[in-house]
Amino acid sequence: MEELRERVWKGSINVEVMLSDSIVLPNTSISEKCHHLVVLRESFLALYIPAIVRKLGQNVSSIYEDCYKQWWFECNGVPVSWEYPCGVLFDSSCNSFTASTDKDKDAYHLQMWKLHLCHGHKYPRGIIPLVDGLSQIQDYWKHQWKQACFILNGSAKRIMSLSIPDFEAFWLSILSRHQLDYMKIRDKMITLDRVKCVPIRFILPDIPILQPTVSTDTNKKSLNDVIDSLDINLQNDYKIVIQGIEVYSSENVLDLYNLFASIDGFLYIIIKR
Amino acid sequence: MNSGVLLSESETDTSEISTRQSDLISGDESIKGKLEEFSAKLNELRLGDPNSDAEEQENSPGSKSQREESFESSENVSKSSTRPAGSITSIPDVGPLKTDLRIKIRLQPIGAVPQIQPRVCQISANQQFLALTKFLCKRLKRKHIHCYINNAFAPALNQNIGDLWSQFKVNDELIVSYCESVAFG
Repeated sequence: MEELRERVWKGSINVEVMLSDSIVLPNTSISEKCHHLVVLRESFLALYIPAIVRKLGQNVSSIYEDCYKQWWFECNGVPVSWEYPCGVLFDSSCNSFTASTDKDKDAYHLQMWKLHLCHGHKYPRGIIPLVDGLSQIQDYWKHQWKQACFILNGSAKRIMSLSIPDFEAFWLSILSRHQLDYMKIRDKMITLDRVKCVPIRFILPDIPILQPTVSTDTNKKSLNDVIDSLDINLQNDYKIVIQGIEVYSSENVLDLYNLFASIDGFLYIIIKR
Repeated sequence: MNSGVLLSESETDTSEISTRQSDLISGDESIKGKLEEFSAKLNELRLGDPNSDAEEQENSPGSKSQREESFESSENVSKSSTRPAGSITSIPDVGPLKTDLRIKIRLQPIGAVPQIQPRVCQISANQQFLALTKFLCKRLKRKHIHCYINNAFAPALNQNIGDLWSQFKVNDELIVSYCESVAFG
Protein backbone atom coordinates (compact mmCIF):
# COMPACT_ATOMS: atom_id res chain seq x y z
CA MET A 1 0.00 0.00 0.00
CA GLU A 2 2.84 2.38 0.84
CA GLU A 3 4.39 1.72 -2.56
CA LEU A 4 1.14 2.58 -4.27
CA ARG A 5 0.85 5.80 -2.28
CA GLU A 6 4.40 6.69 -3.18
CA ARG A 7 3.70 6.10 -6.87
CA VAL A 8 0.63 8.34 -6.65
CA TRP A 9 2.65 11.02 -4.86
CA LYS A 10 5.42 10.89 -7.46
CA GLY A 11 3.15 10.57 -10.49
CA SER A 12 3.94 13.11 -13.18
CA ILE A 13 2.70 14.44 -16.51
CA ASN A 14 4.67 15.64 -19.51
CA VAL A 15 3.54 19.12 -20.40
CA GLU A 16 4.23 21.31 -23.39
CA VAL A 17 3.51 24.96 -22.71
CA MET A 18 3.26 27.29 -25.68
CA LEU A 19 2.85 31.03 -25.43
CA SER A 20 -0.55 32.06 -26.68
CA ASP A 21 -0.53 33.73 -30.11
CA SER A 22 -2.20 36.78 -28.58
CA ILE A 23 0.79 37.59 -26.36
CA VAL A 24 3.82 36.27 -28.23
CA LEU A 25 6.18 38.70 -29.97
CA PRO A 26 6.16 38.56 -33.78
CA ASN A 27 8.77 36.38 -35.46
CA THR A 28 9.42 34.33 -32.35
CA SER A 29 10.64 30.85 -33.21
CA ILE A 30 8.79 27.84 -31.90
CA SER A 31 11.64 26.87 -29.61
CA GLU A 32 11.53 30.33 -28.00
CA LYS A 33 7.82 30.29 -27.33
CA CYS A 34 7.60 26.68 -26.19
CA HIS A 35 8.66 25.09 -22.92
CA HIS A 36 8.59 21.42 -21.96
CA LEU A 37 8.35 20.41 -18.36
CA VAL A 38 7.23 17.62 -16.09
CA VAL A 39 4.51 18.55 -13.62
CA LEU A 40 3.55 16.43 -10.68
CA ARG A 41 0.03 15.08 -10.69
CA GLU A 42 -0.31 15.96 -7.02
CA SER A 43 0.43 19.65 -7.28
CA PHE A 44 -1.28 22.77 -8.57
CA LEU A 45 -0.69 23.99 -12.10
CA ALA A 46 -0.48 27.60 -10.93
CA LEU A 47 2.63 26.77 -8.91
CA TYR A 48 4.51 26.31 -12.18
CA ILE A 49 3.57 29.68 -13.67
CA PRO A 50 6.54 31.67 -12.28
CA ALA A 51 9.09 29.19 -13.67
CA ILE A 52 7.38 29.18 -17.07
CA VAL A 53 7.14 32.98 -17.13
CA ARG A 54 10.83 33.25 -16.26
CA LYS A 55 11.63 30.94 -19.16
CA LEU A 56 9.34 32.43 -21.80
CA GLY A 57 8.72 35.93 -20.46
CA GLN A 58 11.20 37.69 -22.76
CA ASN A 59 9.10 36.70 -25.74
CA VAL A 60 5.87 38.11 -24.37
CA SER A 61 4.55 41.28 -25.98
CA SER A 62 2.28 42.38 -23.15
CA ILE A 63 3.59 44.09 -20.03
CA TYR A 64 3.28 42.08 -16.86
CA GLU A 65 4.09 42.95 -13.27
CA ASP A 66 3.45 39.70 -11.50
CA CYS A 67 4.28 36.05 -12.17
CA TYR A 68 0.84 34.87 -11.05
CA LYS A 69 -1.58 37.70 -11.62
CA GLN A 70 -3.43 37.78 -14.96
CA TRP A 71 -1.82 34.56 -16.20
CA TRP A 72 -3.80 31.45 -17.01
CA PHE A 73 -3.58 28.28 -19.07
CA GLU A 74 -5.77 27.11 -21.90
CA CYS A 75 -6.12 23.64 -23.36
CA ASN A 76 -7.56 23.49 -26.88
CA GLY A 77 -8.82 27.04 -26.43
CA VAL A 78 -10.61 26.28 -23.17
CA PRO A 79 -9.39 27.93 -19.93
CA VAL A 80 -7.94 25.49 -17.41
CA SER A 81 -8.82 25.99 -13.75
CA TRP A 82 -5.91 26.31 -11.37
CA GLU A 83 -7.74 25.17 -8.26
CA TYR A 84 -7.73 21.44 -8.95
CA PRO A 85 -4.71 19.12 -8.77
CA CYS A 86 -2.81 18.77 -12.07
CA GLY A 87 -3.60 15.07 -12.37
CA VAL A 88 -7.33 15.72 -12.11
CA LEU A 89 -7.17 18.43 -14.75
CA PHE A 90 -5.17 16.20 -17.06
CA ASP A 91 -7.39 13.14 -16.62
CA SER A 92 -10.56 15.12 -17.20
CA SER A 93 -9.25 16.95 -20.26
CA CYS A 94 -7.43 14.02 -21.86
CA ASN A 95 -9.72 12.32 -24.35
CA SER A 96 -7.31 9.57 -25.31
CA PHE A 97 -7.28 7.75 -22.01
CA THR A 98 -6.56 4.07 -22.53
CA ALA A 99 -5.67 1.45 -20.00
CA SER A 100 -3.28 -0.28 -22.35
CA THR A 101 -1.52 -3.43 -21.32
CA ASP A 102 0.87 -3.38 -24.25
CA LYS A 103 4.10 -2.32 -22.52
CA ASP A 104 6.20 -2.33 -25.69
CA LYS A 105 3.78 0.01 -27.40
CA ASP A 106 3.65 2.28 -24.35
CA ALA A 107 7.43 2.49 -24.27
CA TYR A 108 7.41 4.40 -27.55
CA HIS A 109 4.35 6.46 -26.78
CA LEU A 110 4.91 9.78 -25.04
CA GLN A 111 1.72 11.36 -23.84
CA MET A 112 1.98 15.11 -23.81
CA TRP A 113 -0.44 17.59 -22.28
CA LYS A 114 -0.43 20.59 -24.58
CA LEU A 115 -1.25 23.87 -22.90
CA HIS A 116 -1.17 27.49 -23.94
CA LEU A 117 -0.04 30.19 -21.53
CA CYS A 118 -2.21 33.29 -21.76
CA HIS A 119 -2.05 36.73 -20.21
CA GLY A 120 -4.60 39.52 -20.09
CA HIS A 121 -6.16 42.15 -17.89
CA LYS A 122 -9.52 40.45 -18.11
CA TYR A 123 -9.80 36.82 -17.11
CA PRO A 124 -11.86 34.54 -19.30
CA ARG A 125 -15.04 33.00 -18.03
CA GLY A 126 -14.50 29.83 -16.06
CA ILE A 127 -11.38 30.99 -14.25
CA ILE A 128 -11.12 32.14 -10.66
CA PRO A 129 -8.74 35.11 -10.88
CA LEU A 130 -5.41 34.48 -9.24
CA VAL A 131 -4.90 37.92 -7.75
CA ASP A 132 -2.84 37.12 -4.69
CA GLY A 133 -0.28 34.64 -6.00
CA LEU A 134 1.08 31.87 -3.85
CA SER A 135 -0.79 32.93 -0.73
CA GLN A 136 -4.10 32.66 -2.57
CA ILE A 137 -3.25 29.13 -3.67
CA GLN A 138 -2.28 28.23 -0.12
CA ASP A 139 -5.42 29.81 1.27
CA TYR A 140 -7.61 27.98 -1.20
CA TRP A 141 -5.88 24.67 -0.46
CA LYS A 142 -6.23 25.21 3.30
CA HIS A 143 -9.98 25.80 3.10
CA GLN A 144 -10.41 22.78 0.84
CA TRP A 145 -8.71 20.70 3.50
CA LYS A 146 -10.93 22.22 6.19
CA GLN A 147 -13.94 21.27 4.13
CA ALA A 148 -12.63 17.73 3.63
CA CYS A 149 -11.89 17.45 7.35
CA PHE A 150 -15.44 18.59 8.15
CA ILE A 151 -16.84 15.92 5.84
CA LEU A 152 -14.57 13.22 7.26
CA ASN A 153 -15.11 13.96 10.93
CA GLY A 154 -18.32 15.95 11.18
CA SER A 155 -16.38 19.05 12.24
CA ALA A 156 -13.22 20.91 11.35
CA LYS A 157 -11.84 20.67 14.89
CA ARG A 158 -8.98 18.39 13.98
CA ILE A 159 -7.56 20.68 11.35
CA MET A 160 -8.30 23.83 13.31
CA SER A 161 -6.43 22.46 16.28
CA LEU A 162 -3.26 21.99 14.24
CA SER A 163 -0.52 24.35 15.33
CA ILE A 164 0.63 27.05 12.94
CA PRO A 165 4.04 25.35 12.47
CA ASP A 166 2.25 22.08 11.69
CA PHE A 167 0.07 23.78 9.13
CA GLU A 168 3.04 25.50 7.55
CA ALA A 169 4.87 22.18 7.45
CA PHE A 170 1.81 20.61 5.83
CA TRP A 171 1.89 23.19 3.02
CA LEU A 172 5.67 23.05 2.70
CA SER A 173 5.52 19.28 2.36
CA ILE A 174 3.56 19.81 -0.86
CA LEU A 175 5.94 22.46 -2.16
CA SER A 176 9.07 20.55 -1.21
CA ARG A 177 7.60 17.12 -2.03
CA HIS A 178 8.20 15.46 1.33
CA GLN A 179 5.67 12.69 1.37
CA LEU A 180 6.46 11.49 4.88
CA ASP A 181 5.89 14.98 6.32
CA TYR A 182 2.67 15.24 4.36
CA MET A 183 1.32 11.87 5.51
CA LYS A 184 2.31 12.54 9.10
CA ILE A 185 0.10 15.61 9.29
CA ARG A 186 -2.63 14.17 7.07
CA ASP A 187 -2.96 11.22 9.43
CA LYS A 188 -3.77 13.62 12.26
CA MET A 189 -6.99 14.46 10.46
CA ILE A 190 -8.06 11.04 9.31
CA THR A 191 -8.91 8.03 11.46
CA LEU A 192 -10.18 5.53 8.94
CA ASP A 193 -12.40 3.53 11.27
CA ARG A 194 -14.09 6.73 12.51
CA VAL A 195 -14.73 8.41 9.19
CA LYS A 196 -18.31 9.69 8.97
CA CYS A 197 -18.42 10.63 5.31
CA VAL A 198 -15.94 10.46 2.45
CA PRO A 199 -14.98 13.66 0.60
CA ILE A 200 -15.52 12.73 -3.02
CA ARG A 201 -15.92 14.75 -6.18
CA PHE A 202 -17.22 13.28 -9.39
CA ILE A 203 -16.19 14.75 -12.71
CA LEU A 204 -18.60 13.63 -15.38
CA PRO A 205 -19.03 14.50 -19.03
CA ASP A 206 -21.34 17.43 -19.72
CA ILE A 207 -22.45 18.24 -16.19
CA PRO A 208 -20.89 20.26 -13.37
CA ILE A 209 -18.76 18.57 -10.74
CA LEU A 210 -20.78 16.60 -8.21
CA GLN A 211 -19.86 16.46 -4.56
CA PRO A 212 -22.24 13.88 -3.11
CA THR A 213 -22.63 12.99 0.53
CA VAL A 214 -21.06 9.55 0.87
CA SER A 215 -21.62 8.26 4.37
CA THR A 216 -19.75 5.27 5.72
CA ASP A 217 -22.77 3.76 7.46
CA THR A 218 -21.86 0.47 5.84
CA ASN A 219 -18.20 -0.44 5.88
CA LYS A 220 -18.35 -2.13 2.53
CA LYS A 221 -19.79 0.70 0.47
CA SER A 222 -18.52 0.24 -3.05
CA LEU A 223 -17.95 2.83 -5.72
CA ASN A 224 -20.84 1.29 -7.58
CA ASP A 225 -23.16 1.97 -4.63
CA VAL A 226 -22.10 5.61 -4.69
CA ILE A 227 -22.56 5.95 -8.46
CA ASP A 228 -25.99 4.34 -8.20
CA SER A 229 -26.97 6.89 -5.56
CA LEU A 230 -26.17 9.75 -7.92
CA ASP A 231 -29.20 11.02 -9.75
CA ILE A 232 -27.61 10.67 -13.18
CA ASN A 233 -27.93 8.45 -16.20
CA LEU A 234 -24.64 6.91 -17.26
CA GLN A 235 -24.02 4.92 -20.38
CA ASN A 236 -23.01 1.31 -19.85
CA ASP A 237 -19.59 1.70 -21.41
CA TYR A 238 -18.18 4.30 -19.05
CA LYS A 239 -14.78 4.11 -17.39
CA ILE A 240 -13.91 5.15 -13.87
CA VAL A 241 -10.54 6.84 -13.64
CA ILE A 242 -8.80 7.81 -10.41
CA GLN A 243 -5.28 9.25 -10.43
CA GLY A 244 -4.97 8.21 -14.07
CA ILE A 245 -5.80 4.60 -13.27
CA GLU A 246 -8.91 2.81 -14.44
CA VAL A 247 -10.54 1.24 -11.39
CA TYR A 248 -13.35 -1.25 -10.90
CA SER A 249 -16.66 0.01 -9.61
CA SER A 250 -16.70 -2.82 -7.07
CA GLU A 251 -13.81 -1.27 -5.12
CA ASN A 252 -14.46 -0.10 -1.57
CA VAL A 253 -14.83 3.65 -1.57
CA LEU A 254 -13.03 4.21 1.73
CA ASP A 255 -10.06 2.14 0.57
CA LEU A 256 -9.92 4.18 -2.62
CA TYR A 257 -9.96 7.37 -0.60
CA ASN A 258 -7.16 6.14 1.62
CA LEU A 259 -4.99 5.31 -1.36
CA PHE A 260 -5.85 7.92 -3.93
CA ALA A 261 -7.09 11.05 -2.17
CA SER A 262 -5.57 14.20 -3.61
CA ILE A 263 -3.53 16.86 -1.88
CA ASP A 264 -6.63 18.94 -1.13
CA GLY A 265 -8.24 16.13 0.87
CA PHE A 266 -10.76 15.09 -1.80
CA LEU A 267 -10.94 11.93 -3.86
CA TYR A 268 -11.55 12.87 -7.49
CA ILE A 269 -13.38 10.30 -9.56
CA ILE A 270 -13.47 10.92 -13.28
CA ILE A 271 -16.13 9.21 -15.31
CA LYS A 272 -15.14 8.84 -18.93
CA ARG A 273 -17.10 7.50 -21.85
CA MET B 1 -30.93 29.80 -15.04
CA ASN B 2 -33.81 30.36 -12.64
CA SER B 3 -34.99 33.77 -11.87
CA GLY B 4 -35.63 34.81 -8.31
CA VAL B 5 -32.62 33.10 -6.86
CA LEU B 6 -33.13 34.24 -3.33
CA LEU B 7 -36.41 34.77 -1.56
CA SER B 8 -36.86 35.63 2.04
CA GLU B 9 -38.89 33.33 4.22
CA SER B 10 -41.37 36.09 4.84
CA GLU B 11 -41.84 36.48 1.13
CA THR B 12 -42.62 32.83 0.80
CA ASP B 13 -44.88 32.61 3.82
CA THR B 14 -48.07 31.32 2.30
CA SER B 15 -49.90 30.10 5.37
CA GLU B 16 -53.05 32.05 4.53
CA ILE B 17 -52.94 30.87 0.96
CA SER B 18 -52.48 27.30 2.15
CA THR B 19 -55.58 27.63 4.32
CA ARG B 20 -57.55 28.89 1.37
CA GLN B 21 -56.27 26.01 -0.71
CA SER B 22 -57.46 23.48 1.86
CA ASP B 23 -60.82 25.22 1.87
CA LEU B 24 -60.93 24.76 -1.87
CA ILE B 25 -60.37 21.05 -1.57
CA SER B 26 -62.95 20.47 1.14
CA GLY B 27 -65.59 22.99 0.06
CA ASP B 28 -68.95 22.10 -1.42
CA GLU B 29 -68.95 24.84 -4.00
CA SER B 30 -67.48 24.34 -7.43
CA ILE B 31 -63.70 24.57 -7.81
CA LYS B 32 -64.08 27.22 -10.45
CA GLY B 33 -66.00 29.49 -8.13
CA LYS B 34 -63.48 29.04 -5.39
CA LEU B 35 -60.63 29.79 -7.76
CA GLU B 36 -62.30 33.04 -8.72
CA GLU B 37 -62.69 33.91 -5.07
CA PHE B 38 -59.08 33.00 -4.45
CA SER B 39 -57.96 35.15 -7.34
CA ALA B 40 -59.98 38.09 -6.04
CA LYS B 41 -58.40 37.65 -2.63
CA LEU B 42 -54.93 37.64 -4.17
CA ASN B 43 -55.73 40.86 -5.96
CA GLU B 44 -56.86 42.40 -2.68
CA LEU B 45 -53.57 41.41 -1.09
CA ARG B 46 -51.71 42.84 -4.14
CA LEU B 47 -49.74 39.61 -4.41
CA GLY B 48 -50.29 39.57 -8.11
CA ASP B 49 -49.31 43.20 -8.56
CA PRO B 50 -46.45 43.33 -11.05
CA ASN B 51 -45.07 46.47 -9.41
CA SER B 52 -44.79 44.81 -6.04
CA ASP B 53 -43.09 41.84 -7.69
CA ALA B 54 -40.51 44.14 -9.11
CA GLU B 55 -39.87 45.62 -5.68
CA GLU B 56 -39.35 42.19 -4.19
CA GLN B 57 -37.02 41.19 -6.95
CA GLU B 58 -34.93 44.28 -6.35
CA ASN B 59 -33.82 42.67 -3.11
CA SER B 60 -33.15 39.35 -4.66
CA PRO B 61 -29.91 38.38 -6.36
CA GLY B 62 -31.95 36.31 -8.69
CA SER B 63 -33.46 39.36 -10.34
CA LYS B 64 -32.19 39.70 -13.84
CA SER B 65 -30.03 42.76 -13.45
CA GLN B 66 -28.31 41.47 -10.35
CA ARG B 67 -27.85 38.01 -11.74
CA GLU B 68 -26.23 39.44 -14.79
CA GLU B 69 -23.97 41.53 -12.62
CA SER B 70 -23.12 38.54 -10.46
CA PHE B 71 -22.15 36.33 -13.31
CA GLU B 72 -20.56 38.74 -15.70
CA SER B 73 -16.82 38.47 -15.58
CA SER B 74 -15.28 41.33 -13.63
CA GLU B 75 -11.89 42.49 -12.55
CA ASN B 76 -11.93 40.61 -9.30
CA VAL B 77 -14.27 37.71 -9.64
CA SER B 78 -15.25 36.08 -12.87
CA LYS B 79 -17.94 33.59 -13.38
CA SER B 80 -16.59 30.12 -13.05
CA SER B 81 -18.08 26.84 -13.94
CA THR B 82 -17.63 23.91 -11.60
CA ARG B 83 -15.94 21.95 -14.33
CA PRO B 84 -12.17 21.76 -14.58
CA ALA B 85 -10.08 21.60 -17.69
CA GLY B 86 -11.29 20.49 -21.09
CA SER B 87 -14.92 21.37 -21.18
CA ILE B 88 -15.22 24.12 -18.60
CA THR B 89 -16.91 26.72 -20.72
CA SER B 90 -18.97 24.33 -22.74
CA ILE B 91 -20.99 23.33 -19.70
CA PRO B 92 -24.24 25.13 -19.03
CA ASP B 93 -24.47 26.85 -15.65
CA VAL B 94 -27.62 25.00 -14.75
CA GLY B 95 -27.00 21.32 -14.52
CA PRO B 96 -29.73 18.80 -15.08
CA LEU B 97 -29.85 18.04 -11.39
CA LYS B 98 -31.81 19.75 -8.66
CA THR B 99 -33.12 22.40 -11.02
CA ASP B 100 -36.25 23.14 -9.05
CA LEU B 101 -34.95 22.59 -5.56
CA ARG B 102 -34.66 25.61 -3.31
CA ILE B 103 -32.62 25.49 -0.17
CA LYS B 104 -32.52 27.64 2.94
CA ILE B 105 -29.50 29.73 3.85
CA ARG B 106 -29.13 31.25 7.32
CA LEU B 107 -26.98 34.36 7.15
CA GLN B 108 -24.93 35.23 10.23
CA PRO B 109 -22.76 38.35 10.52
CA ILE B 110 -19.37 38.23 12.22
CA GLY B 111 -17.94 41.32 13.90
CA ALA B 112 -19.15 44.78 12.98
CA VAL B 113 -20.77 43.89 9.69
CA PRO B 114 -24.56 44.46 9.86
CA GLN B 115 -27.14 41.69 9.93
CA ILE B 116 -28.98 41.21 6.69
CA GLN B 117 -32.75 40.98 6.93
CA PRO B 118 -34.27 38.49 6.59
CA ARG B 119 -31.82 36.18 8.25
CA VAL B 120 -33.02 33.15 6.35
CA CYS B 121 -33.15 33.23 2.57
CA GLN B 122 -33.91 30.70 -0.10
CA ILE B 123 -31.71 30.03 -3.07
CA SER B 124 -31.85 27.75 -6.03
CA ALA B 125 -29.77 24.62 -5.35
CA ASN B 126 -28.05 24.73 -8.71
CA GLN B 127 -26.44 28.12 -8.08
CA GLN B 128 -22.75 28.50 -7.43
CA PHE B 129 -21.56 29.93 -4.14
CA LEU B 130 -20.42 32.98 -6.09
CA ALA B 131 -24.05 34.06 -6.49
CA LEU B 132 -24.51 34.27 -2.72
CA THR B 133 -21.24 36.15 -2.26
CA LYS B 134 -22.24 38.72 -4.85
CA PHE B 135 -25.65 39.07 -3.25
CA LEU B 136 -24.07 39.79 0.13
CA CYS B 137 -21.63 42.30 -1.39
CA LYS B 138 -24.50 44.17 -2.99
CA ARG B 139 -26.77 44.13 0.04
CA LEU B 140 -23.96 45.20 2.37
CA LYS B 141 -22.56 47.69 -0.15
CA ARG B 142 -19.09 46.21 0.25
CA LYS B 143 -16.57 45.44 -2.44
CA HIS B 144 -15.37 42.25 -0.76
CA ILE B 145 -16.92 39.93 1.75
CA HIS B 146 -15.57 36.75 3.37
CA CYS B 147 -18.02 33.89 3.73
CA TYR B 148 -17.71 30.76 5.81
CA ILE B 149 -19.79 27.63 6.15
CA ASN B 150 -20.52 26.52 9.72
CA ASN B 151 -17.93 28.99 11.02
CA ALA B 152 -15.25 26.67 9.70
CA PHE B 153 -14.24 26.99 6.06
CA ALA B 154 -14.65 29.12 2.99
CA PRO B 155 -15.97 27.11 0.04
CA ALA B 156 -14.70 27.68 -3.46
CA LEU B 157 -16.71 30.27 -5.37
CA ASN B 158 -17.57 27.74 -8.02
CA GLN B 159 -18.96 25.13 -5.63
CA ASN B 160 -22.55 24.14 -6.06
CA ILE B 161 -24.70 25.48 -3.23
CA GLY B 162 -26.97 22.45 -3.36
CA ASP B 163 -24.01 20.14 -2.70
CA LEU B 164 -22.85 22.35 0.17
CA TRP B 165 -26.32 22.34 1.66
CA SER B 166 -26.56 18.54 1.40
CA GLN B 167 -23.27 18.02 3.18
CA PHE B 168 -23.20 20.79 5.76
CA LYS B 169 -26.80 21.66 6.54
CA VAL B 170 -27.93 22.13 10.13
CA ASN B 171 -31.70 21.75 10.64
CA ASP B 172 -32.18 21.95 6.88
CA GLU B 173 -30.37 25.29 6.71
CA LEU B 174 -26.92 26.04 5.37
CA ILE B 175 -25.30 28.38 7.87
CA VAL B 176 -23.23 31.02 6.12
CA SER B 177 -21.28 33.50 8.23
CA TYR B 178 -19.95 36.64 6.64
CA CYS B 179 -17.52 39.36 7.61
CA GLU B 180 -15.40 42.08 6.10
CA SER B 181 -12.03 40.64 7.04
CA VAL B 182 -10.61 37.16 7.39
CA ALA B 183 -12.28 35.45 10.34
CA PHE B 184 -11.22 31.83 10.02
CA GLY B 185 -7.80 31.83 8.41
